[in-house]
Amino acid sequence: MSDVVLEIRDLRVEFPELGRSVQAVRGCGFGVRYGEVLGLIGESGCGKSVTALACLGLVPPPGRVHGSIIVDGEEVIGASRKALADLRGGKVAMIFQNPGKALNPFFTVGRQMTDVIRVHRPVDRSGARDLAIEALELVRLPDPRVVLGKYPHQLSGGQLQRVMVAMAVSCDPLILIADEPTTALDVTIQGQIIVLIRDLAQSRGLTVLFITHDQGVVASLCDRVAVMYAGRIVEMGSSDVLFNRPAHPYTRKLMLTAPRLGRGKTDLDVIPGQVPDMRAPPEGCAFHTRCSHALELCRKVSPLTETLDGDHTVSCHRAKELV
Amino acid sequence: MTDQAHLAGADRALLTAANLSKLYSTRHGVIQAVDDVSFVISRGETVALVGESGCGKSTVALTLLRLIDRDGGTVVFDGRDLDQLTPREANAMRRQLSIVFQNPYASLNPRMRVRDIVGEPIHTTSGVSRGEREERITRHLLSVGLGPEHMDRFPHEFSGGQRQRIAVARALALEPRLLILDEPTAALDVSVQAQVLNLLRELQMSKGLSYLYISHDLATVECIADRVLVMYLGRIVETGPVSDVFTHPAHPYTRALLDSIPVPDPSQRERLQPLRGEVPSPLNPPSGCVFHPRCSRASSRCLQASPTLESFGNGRSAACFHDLIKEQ
Ligand SMILES: Nc1ncnc2c1ncn2[C@@H]1O[C@H](COP(=O)(O)OP(=O)(O)OP(=O)(O)O)[C@@H](O)[C@H]1O
Ligand SMILES: Nc1ncnc2c1ncn2[C@@H]1O[C@H](COP(=O)(O)OP(=O)(O)OP(=O)(O)O)[C@@H](O)[C@H]1O
Ligand code: SF4
Ligand code: SF4
Ligand SMILES: [Mg+2]
Ligand SMILES: [Mg+2]
Repeated sequence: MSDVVLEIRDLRVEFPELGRSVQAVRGCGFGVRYGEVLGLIGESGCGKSVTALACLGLVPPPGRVHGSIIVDGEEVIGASRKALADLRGGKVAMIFQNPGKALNPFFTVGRQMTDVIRVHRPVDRSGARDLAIEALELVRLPDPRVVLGKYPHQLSGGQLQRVMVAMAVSCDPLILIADEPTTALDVTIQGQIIVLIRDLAQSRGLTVLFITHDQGVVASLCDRVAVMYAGRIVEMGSSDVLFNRPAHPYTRKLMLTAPRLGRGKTDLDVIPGQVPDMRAPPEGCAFHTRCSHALELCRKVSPLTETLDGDHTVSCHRAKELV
Repeated sequence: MTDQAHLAGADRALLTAANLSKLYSTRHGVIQAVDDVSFVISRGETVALVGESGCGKSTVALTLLRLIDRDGGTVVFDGRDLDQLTPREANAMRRQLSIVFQNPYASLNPRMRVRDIVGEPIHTTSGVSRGEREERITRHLLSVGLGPEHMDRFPHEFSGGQRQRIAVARALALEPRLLILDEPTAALDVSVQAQVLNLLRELQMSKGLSYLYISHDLATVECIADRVLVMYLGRIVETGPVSDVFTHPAHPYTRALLDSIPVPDPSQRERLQPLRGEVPSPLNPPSGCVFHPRCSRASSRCLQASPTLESFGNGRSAACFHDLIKEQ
């Protein structure tokens, strides 16, 4: 499909270790369409961050990456150093959970922003400064000129995350990959960042891959959702379908674990057991160790991905009979 | 029952904190981190302390545990004023109050085995035999869902949720009556959070524990707490039973915190209305009602005078000039 700007196919990432290697991503595939906000959700350790890093050629050694990742028509896996450098911060920008760590504590925000802008856009220092101010205004930081003169430690976590978003959009990227950018923030600031990203996606046609484990965040922000379990996408569809008519037993359980106001003082729904050890992922359907619908077949054969209707795809032997 | 009635000495009270205050002196000046905070925790009850980062939640916890000195106020635990105890009594009292911190990665000693992490507090108290100590370690680990096979492992061999279970087992080691939970699930993913919250509820029922549950996420508060204290810039701005406060908040700040929670339902997307702005610097707090720069209901009066916490029945109180409940 031509409107897909980021396409991941059969992505595999392994981290060799002394004993068995960690199979962080095990055949993950999905496409992100131009201008959409796609949510990537799943429990801790399922491979969300590694997938995001792979999109920028940033999987740390000794990680081994196989498969294909096409960004705006160009293959990322195996691309040259120069091509990757152009890609990062240019076509694809990324923001992380901890904005403090992504900035250099010894340089002002202004210096760091203008440096990045000058790498990717044909402007001089003062032109870069103008673009930086424009970007800070876009993320609604009051007094952008004052912010430019500050060091990272002089800003709050919420302000820093806005600076990161500003830095990301200042180079006019095609795709923004956000890896849990709100997890470390207060609910109030998290809400502000969600609204900000929602507005940027709408007003600038920005394509966003948004990683989180918070169902509330996904519901408030994303057009479509991909659910990841043990290194694979197990279900994908519109937010509406995944929240109201999830087909995969994992998605169904996962959606219920989120606390939701209005239920009162009661136990929360839980997914029994824990995420599998990725040094020895279960055979067959990886979810079979925790699935109440598992059959003998599920323990041996890994389910294929089927299309239920239109956009809605699922990998479960029993999805059709369970819907 | 109102907080005042509680303070008057109801015998269900396990802990009564009155007029707590804490100042920090920093390079840039003095911060009033906790300002005239009073509350009661009854036996078997969970009281939640909520508010944005920096409002003073952890400072309240640390003063209760006497890990930092107070600048004012009294703490009465089980009928005894903590300031009037002999050192020996103070030591015995300290065992009845315990804390679980936010980050299970930072709070467990990476070089210690689970057995020693959980057993360490028992060791430091006299009069417990070796056999009894072993028995207690096993029992506490079992109560958080960990078996004997986990006893000789190190923290790094566990997932985040398991580590938080170990931290809970350690906090339970001395069989406290009040457990302070300082954002116990903030570092965990949502499904592990659900497991840990259920575990805490279960332990409370089986052991009759009281909890002070600290969080900035009101959605988790609802499933675990009976009463809630909402804090802003060092002060309590609203208190009451969770069910009443969350359905009919009396303070605009409480309303705003509730409206900042993203609802896990795409059709309710528009309900997300995050509170604007950020918490002002405690070094230079705003005039009048300290919430006024962010308050959608602020009037001219709010810029000059500071509202006091007034009770209005049903165990509820709020510090605001505006009648938010009547508005609803
Ligand atoms: N540099 C690395 N070396 C070895 N193993 C790694 C490395 N990075 C990640 N892993 C492993 O790969 C798997 C996937 O990790 P990843 O960070 O992608 O998870 P995640 O879904 O982002 O989880 P979280 O929600 O906790 O951020 C995990 O089992 C993790 O331990
Ligand atoms: N040791 C200290 N020295 C000086 N100031 C401090 C100290 N500890 C805390 N503060 C300040 O006191 C205020 C209250 O801090 P506290 O840690 O109690 O907040 P909190 O509500 O627990 O926040 P968070 O949600 O981020 O944990 C903040 O302004 C903080 O910067
Ligand atoms: S394939 Fe089988 S084990 Fe896997 S989710 Fe479906 S029913 Fe459960
Ligand atoms: S007193 Fe005024 S500013 Fe303060 S919360 Fe009430 S309405 Fe808002
Ligand atoms: Mg991650
Ligand atoms: Mg704290």
